[in-house]
Amino acid sequence: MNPLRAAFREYYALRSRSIFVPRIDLREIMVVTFDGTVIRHVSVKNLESLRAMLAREAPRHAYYSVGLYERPAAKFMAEKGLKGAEVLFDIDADHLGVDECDYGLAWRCKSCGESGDGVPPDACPKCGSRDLERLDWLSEGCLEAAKREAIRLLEILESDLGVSGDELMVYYTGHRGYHVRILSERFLGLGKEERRELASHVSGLSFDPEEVFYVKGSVLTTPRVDEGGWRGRIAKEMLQLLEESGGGKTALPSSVAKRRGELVRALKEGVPLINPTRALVRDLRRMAEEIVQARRVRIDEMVTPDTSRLTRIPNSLHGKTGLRAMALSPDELRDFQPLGDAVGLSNDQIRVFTTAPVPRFRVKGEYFGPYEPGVGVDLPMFAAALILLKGRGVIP
Amino acid sequence: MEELDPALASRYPFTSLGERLIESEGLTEEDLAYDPLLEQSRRHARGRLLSAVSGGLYLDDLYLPPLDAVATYLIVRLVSSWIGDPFLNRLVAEHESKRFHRLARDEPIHILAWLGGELGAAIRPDGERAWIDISSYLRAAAGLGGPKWRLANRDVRSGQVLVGRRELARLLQELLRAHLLEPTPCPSLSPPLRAIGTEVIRRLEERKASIQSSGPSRQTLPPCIEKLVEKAERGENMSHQERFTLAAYLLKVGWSVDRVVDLFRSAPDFKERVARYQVSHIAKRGYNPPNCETLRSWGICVEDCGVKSPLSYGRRGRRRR
Ligand code: SF4
Ligand SMILES: [Zn+2]
Repeated sequence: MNPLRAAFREYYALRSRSIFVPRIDLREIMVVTFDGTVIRHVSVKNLESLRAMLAREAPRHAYYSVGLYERPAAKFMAEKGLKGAEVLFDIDADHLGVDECDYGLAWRCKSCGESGDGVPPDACPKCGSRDLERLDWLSEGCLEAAKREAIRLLEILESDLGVSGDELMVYYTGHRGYHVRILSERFLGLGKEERRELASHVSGLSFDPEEVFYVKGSVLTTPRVDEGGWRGRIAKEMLQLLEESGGGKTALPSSVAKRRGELVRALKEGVPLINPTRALVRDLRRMAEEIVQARRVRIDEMVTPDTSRLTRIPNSLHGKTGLRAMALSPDELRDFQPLGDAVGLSNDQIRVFTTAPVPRFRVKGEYFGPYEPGVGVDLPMFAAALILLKGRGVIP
Repeated sequence: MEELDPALASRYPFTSLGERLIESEGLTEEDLAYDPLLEQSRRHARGRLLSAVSGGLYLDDLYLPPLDAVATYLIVRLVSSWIGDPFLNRLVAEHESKRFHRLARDEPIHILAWLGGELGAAIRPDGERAWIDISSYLRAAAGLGGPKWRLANRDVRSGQVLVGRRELARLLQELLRAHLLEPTPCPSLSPPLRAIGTEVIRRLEERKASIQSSGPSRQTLPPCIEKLVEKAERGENMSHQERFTLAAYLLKVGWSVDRVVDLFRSAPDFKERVARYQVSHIAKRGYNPPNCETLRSWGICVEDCGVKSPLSYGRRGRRRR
């Protein structure tokens, strides 16, 4: 057996107790094996069977549905009998536009095997082929950015939606992102439009500054600090800006500075402003927009409305990293270090032959690399797995 | 909770007050069909169903005694379940919920809170406004157009959304609509009620026919669009791209927004407000349907009819004739 798959199997044998799926009998399970076979529409009666299956198959990827079904094994969605679905939010570092996420970027020619650092060129400099593979890597800075989004998401879910603790499931995907599921009964029945609405709430996409700084005739109504949602967040932050500007620390637009006292009262007590200038209205709305932009959660909007999604089985291994798709409590999330805490593979030594440049990286506190392409190195399995699964090395 | 006026069953027959009345009176389908004392209920139910089909608003029976009002409502529901046509069900739900809103919008907040509870929402009055649980809010507001309904612009705290009294009445209208659209078993009906049903079916067919004849005739539709029209009529699930293509095409060849919306009415996830908003958006912007190449890549094209855009299909056909 492929030593990597053997390592996965060992993990599933030793750590099987950490694998769990709530309400497993109602889920669709899907696995992708090491030879690339996709097995869909699997139904599993209980956790024991799931754990046994993973230890037996040692798949490369293992997923379970957000949907709860009467007949999870049915081939077609319409026949599965959807009873409800957890609300899923997907945070993927690739969508955050963070520079650190390009750390260690490299490429490899599929025709001749030539490789190099950085963004893939249009054509292979050696053989001219255009069939080049883009190879990404994991970096702590990138994962940290994703984690910050996840933490902000949890804050909004708690303050606005009133879901926290047991009603939530948070997990590191094992790769470059986080998933958050709302488990509580009252959200299970939501339809597609309702889920879309939740997605555009947390991502601030449906925010409209004209509604929140609302003008009717000559009266301007502002949000208030005791309100919830984006209104409250905006009011609190603006109030703080106004109060700090008293000491001259922050520069306010002059239209706003001129009516500072009235605005403070409006934000605190909801006293509307009479005869606002057009500049004032414009500046306030712009400030609100900026606050939302800075605090919005950048989720993948397409994921949340879709009740037929699957995500990784908690604590299963990610087939692109060998890291655990770790289930976390909101408290654990804060101090979570993916490249340390999510290591699941052993430290048995294995020899890896690199086929592309490998950047310097740190796993479990230990530094590895950088390695040139075409060298042999002895590494613990958890570090070797990263190189192998990221397509930058082979087992000789 | 304070004692509710039993007369409320007259305005809101779908509530538990209505149900209790049915039970205490032992009202059966036979009574509804034959009881001479319920003649006016049968007459009003017929009026309401026909108004639903024609897109009107029937208000002649606003002040019936509770039992008669409940009977009327029951007949409306029985007959439309008996017909079992998804298009009709949408029309009836639209009509009944509009009628409900007429009455509810003037109710005090505590009555609205009670009505909300009857419709499965948790509502807590707060002065002249009220807090509604977020799931119910989403169920109701997701179908409403306009930025003021978007959650991101509202006061939302710990799973509750603050709404004004009028807004609450509007949300309840949507919840009632959803309730009326829940599938009901097909009942068997006695002849007098079946007669009402038959008449409704006839009017319904007339309306459907007028939708179809108002557009280009079937022969001039390109095959891809014809297929989409059939899908829409059968109430099959359609992708976003399919709906867009169909709406943009039909609007370009002269269909009104109303007629296009009507066509989509059988869709399983149809929402009047959303559909109307989307279709009028396409109309306002004057979008063209995608060209054949795009339609091919979307898997919507069904055969190569040698044109570049479905819009040129009809034209070519006309020129040839
Ligand atoms: S060729 Fe164009 S008009 Fe004809 S079926 Fe395909 S997409 Fe429609
Ligand atoms: Zn090459």
